[in-house]
Amino acid sequence: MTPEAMNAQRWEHEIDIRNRPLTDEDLDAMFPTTGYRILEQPTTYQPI
Amino acid sequence: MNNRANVRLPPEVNRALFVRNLPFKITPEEMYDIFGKYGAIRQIRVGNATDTKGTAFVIYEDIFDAKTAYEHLQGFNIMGRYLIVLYYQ
Repeated sequence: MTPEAMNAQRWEHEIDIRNRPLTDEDLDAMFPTTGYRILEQPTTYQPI
Repeated sequence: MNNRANVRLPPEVNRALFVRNLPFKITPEEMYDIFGKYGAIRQIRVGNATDTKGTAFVIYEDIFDAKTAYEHLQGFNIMGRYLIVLYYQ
């Protein structure tokens, strides 16, 4: 296990933590509750 | 796709972008068109109060998509207004 591989593995792990799926509760906790409304996804929108 | 394994992201990069200077009458479809080009969108919250009008939170599914959007949309011109895009802390 070369040092680069270890670093890459550690960064990969860190990215996974920062990229974990966000639940709706997470989102509500993150953002101000007042003054904003959530847009509903238009039907024409297909995620890439 | 950029190689993700050894790409190190600065701490302030995250999936939630805070956008300012949006035109007031922008439609959800336009929002999803502009921001959806860079990756799957988890959610968009648009300001509707007097002090939050013209601002929005755009949350991406993937942190790298958010970073790409941040880099490309800085100063993007919509209807004569230049977007201000920040990472939301």
